[in-house]
Amino acid sequence: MAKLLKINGLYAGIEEKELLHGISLEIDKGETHVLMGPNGAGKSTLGHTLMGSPEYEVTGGTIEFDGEDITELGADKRAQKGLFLSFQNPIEIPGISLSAFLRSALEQRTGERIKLMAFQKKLRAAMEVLQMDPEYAERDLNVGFSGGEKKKAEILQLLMLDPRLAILDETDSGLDVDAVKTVSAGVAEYRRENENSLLIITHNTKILESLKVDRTHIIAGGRIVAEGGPELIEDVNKNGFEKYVQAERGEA
Amino acid sequence: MKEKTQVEDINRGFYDFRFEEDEKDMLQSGITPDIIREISEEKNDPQWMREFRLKSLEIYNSTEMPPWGPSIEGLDMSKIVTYIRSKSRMNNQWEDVPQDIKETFERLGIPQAEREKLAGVGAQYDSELVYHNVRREVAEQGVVYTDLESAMYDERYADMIREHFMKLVPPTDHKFAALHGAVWSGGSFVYVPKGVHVDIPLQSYFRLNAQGAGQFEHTLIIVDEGAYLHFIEGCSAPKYYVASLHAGCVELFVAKNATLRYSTIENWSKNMYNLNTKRAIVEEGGKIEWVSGSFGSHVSYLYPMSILHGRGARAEFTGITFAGEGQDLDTGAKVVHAAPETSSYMNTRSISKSGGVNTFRSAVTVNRNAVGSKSSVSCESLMLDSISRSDTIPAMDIRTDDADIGHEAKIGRISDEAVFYLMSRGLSEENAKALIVSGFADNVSKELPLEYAVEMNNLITIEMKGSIG
Amino acid sequence: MGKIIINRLPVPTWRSLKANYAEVDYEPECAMPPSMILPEGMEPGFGENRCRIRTGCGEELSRELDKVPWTKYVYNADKVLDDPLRLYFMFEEDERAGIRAEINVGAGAGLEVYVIYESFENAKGIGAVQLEINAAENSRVKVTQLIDVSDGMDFINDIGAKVGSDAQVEITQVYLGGKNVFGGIYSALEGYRSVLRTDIGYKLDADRSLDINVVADHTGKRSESEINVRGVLSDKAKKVFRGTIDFKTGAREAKGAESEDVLLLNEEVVNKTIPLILCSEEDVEGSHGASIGRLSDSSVFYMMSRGISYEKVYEIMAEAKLNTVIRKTDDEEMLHRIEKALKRR
Repeated sequence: MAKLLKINGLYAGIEEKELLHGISLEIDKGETHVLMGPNGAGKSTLGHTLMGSPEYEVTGGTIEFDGEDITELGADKRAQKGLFLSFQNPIEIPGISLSAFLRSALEQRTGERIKLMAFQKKLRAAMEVLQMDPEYAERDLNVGFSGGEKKKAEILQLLMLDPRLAILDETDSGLDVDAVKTVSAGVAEYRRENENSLLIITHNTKILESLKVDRTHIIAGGRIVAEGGPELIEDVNKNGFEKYVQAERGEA
Repeated sequence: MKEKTQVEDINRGFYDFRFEEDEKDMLQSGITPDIIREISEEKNDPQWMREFRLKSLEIYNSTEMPPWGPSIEGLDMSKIVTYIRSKSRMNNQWEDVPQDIKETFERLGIPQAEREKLAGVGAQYDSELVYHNVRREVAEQGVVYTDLESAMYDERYADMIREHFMKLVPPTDHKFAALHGAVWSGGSFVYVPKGVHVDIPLQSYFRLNAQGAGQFEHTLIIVDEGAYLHFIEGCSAPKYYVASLHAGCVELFVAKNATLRYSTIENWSKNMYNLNTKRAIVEEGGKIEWVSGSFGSHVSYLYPMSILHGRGARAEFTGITFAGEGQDLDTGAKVVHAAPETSSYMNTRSISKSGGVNTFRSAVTVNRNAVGSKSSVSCESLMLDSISRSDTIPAMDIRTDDADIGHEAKIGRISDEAVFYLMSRGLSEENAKALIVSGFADNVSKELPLEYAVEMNNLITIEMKGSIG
Repeated sequence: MGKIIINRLPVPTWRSLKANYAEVDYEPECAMPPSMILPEGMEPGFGENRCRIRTGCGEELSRELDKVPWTKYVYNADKVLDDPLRLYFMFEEDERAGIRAEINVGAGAGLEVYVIYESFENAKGIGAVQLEINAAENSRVKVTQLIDVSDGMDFINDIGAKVGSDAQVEITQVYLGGKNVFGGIYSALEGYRSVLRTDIGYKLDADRSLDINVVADHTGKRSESEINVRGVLSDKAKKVFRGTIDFKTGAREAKGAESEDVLLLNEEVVNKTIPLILCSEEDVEGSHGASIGRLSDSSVFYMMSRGISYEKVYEIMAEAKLNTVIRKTDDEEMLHRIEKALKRR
């Protein structure tokens, strides 16, 4: 049976510079993976490249999602297949409310009109899990939201769109203790569905405390330099990334 | 009760000195075809240039004044003398330059600058290049830096000049371009060959030193493929009692993948009418960087224009304009995106004080074929009192959907919080405001070579209880 | 029949840009009485056919309208009225119509006005409505206009407003119809803390054109103006926006902000934007921002990453641009009419 996500020797970068040098990684259904690394290691680049961001160009390797090669697919098609990326800096979109946007996105996925009542019920429930004021649903998408509110709104979208693999890009950065708890609750809610998978990209570990991690990958200098179980997280917590950075430099 | 800072007008005293002119040298005032022929003969113009001058005069006489901009009523064209023969011919050796001219330039600091940093100096004194010296290193790279008039005869460059002269700014462009075409005199010609990177900035000084004289110098710069040049134009003039005119023209040709940085400090004295036309055309992958500080003149019309002609061409404009008492400065920039993937960036600031009038005027035009183009314009104006004026008149004309155009402008006064912050660190209110105004001009000063930045900061002299800058 | 000049830029710029003013062939031949629904407490009135204040379109239009023999409609509110004033202008076939209306809101009073400009489906004429708004001290006036005339018709929507101390005038305009449409707003912010808010939205396609001139003239201390223009241009549509914030000496602590956001959807559109700030007073805060062109790559990627196709992203964003203006009103009838007009296009 095909893995949910299979990255094969992925090379990618921007015009002047290659940022990912041959990344290979596998995530199976129902697994929680963590991708850690120092600043500038290429974590966000990988997250965005997986989602199909036009900012980065894939110069080698492939990305397979549930057995299908999605390397050439547009971001919307990837989303419809069940991929989700929570943005570190979500864009503000004035003129469209959070709820209207979600309805549009859901309609695009199913191709059918969404029943208003059911939708609103689900939305209210999700907002409660995230302790979000219901009035945010009618506010323009991300406009004037504080950093914490934007992150919560991203997790709200995660819960409403219910993807198969959610990539969380530095979701806990810039959040205060309470916000981290709330976001963690939201993520846990998402994981409750056993087949759902999670790839958490982070360089600090607060958000991981409430999750059961299956596998950890350490990235440095655009390469995966270490892989292991949750014990790697403890190692990084205690000793930082230095030995991994050095290992990468040795390999380079 | 808020104390108002005395932000001192630009310190003019340093530049206000001049020498007695030999009146016999002055050509009769007023512009008739005979005068043009006289000028042309004296200069030994080739036939094509003589005809060009006469045709330009015709165009001048039949062109209207623009219906916008500051009034130039005080300028009486018939009184402007267009050509003044200088006391000496072009010189390569500093030692041979006549004494009074030398003294003028000594006081402006040219010899020191020449000794220390510069590649060569073409110095204009009353419409003719007096002193000219191209340093050996630069000449060895194949760089040509000479006066335009003699270059017209040099068979190495005659054709190149004829091909380019007033093609970018034709006499039909506007009334003063036509005037320029008829009476132009003096100016520099620079050619940088393919791939040559000129490390040291080339620079040029002008000076106007006679009653009623006008300056019509023409600068023609061609930077060939892949080359790099930084050219600095700095000028000053003493005060007069008769209206004076500067109708210069600068034409810059930036070839494929070449870069040209053109820096100017304009510091004409307060009776000058500065009607200058500067234009650059940039080919594929090329880049033009304008750095402009406008401080002097009574009335100014100054809008460096960049034509982005080749794919991926780029223009950057960084400017500051300071309008003080009695000044009406209409300045800005224009960009035409005439090819795909072109980009332009403008950052301008202006300061209005003591009744000065500042008008920022710009135009960004994006043609239908300029797909994938980007433009970002930002202008900020500082008002220092309520007897001055600051007007911002930008325009955008976009004719393709595949473009990304952004514009923002701000106007206001010196921020109270900024003053409070500086005062909380021990500065007096006056010093704080002076520092803020100086800092406001740093968009330009940080782009200039040190001695120019210093000169510029001196121009924004603040009364700091005995010390300057 | 001669051309008149309207929508003149207060300070002209390079002629080559051809944006200093607009020209239109206009001479009114008949009146255009509106249908109206008056709020309780308001009596319809008539006044001398003169416009006593400056308007956005300018003098030449006023002079044309001065010539007409019919009177002007006057609406007075001298207290806060709960119900709105509704005006419906219906233009018929091929006429050259013109009419004036005056709205006077007295001291401390308040009034909401909903205006709908529409026409017969095949109308091909030209109509002009010049609206004079006098907002006395402490009053509140909110005017919402929907311009939904037929695609063959030209239309001139001219407004002049005089705003007194502590008074607020809000003008919301949604331009959806017409062939060559001209809009002008001139607001004299004379009073202490007088306020103008203007939100203009438009959606132009085919070979439509929209020419707008908005001027906020600040003479009052602490006066405020906010001008927002949002819209979408597709096909061969053409739009000119001239927006001026003018801080006159004495308008201490005044604030003015102007912003324009245009989405361009086709390579043949023409967009001209000329945002002016004129200032002769030191103690002010003025700003303007314009964003013109296609959507940013990051906005598109963000929306696509949520499963929305590229085309749908543009559809949603076009709608979103207009929404920011449309939602300034919560009047059911107006919203319903706007929705209907949008569906038709």
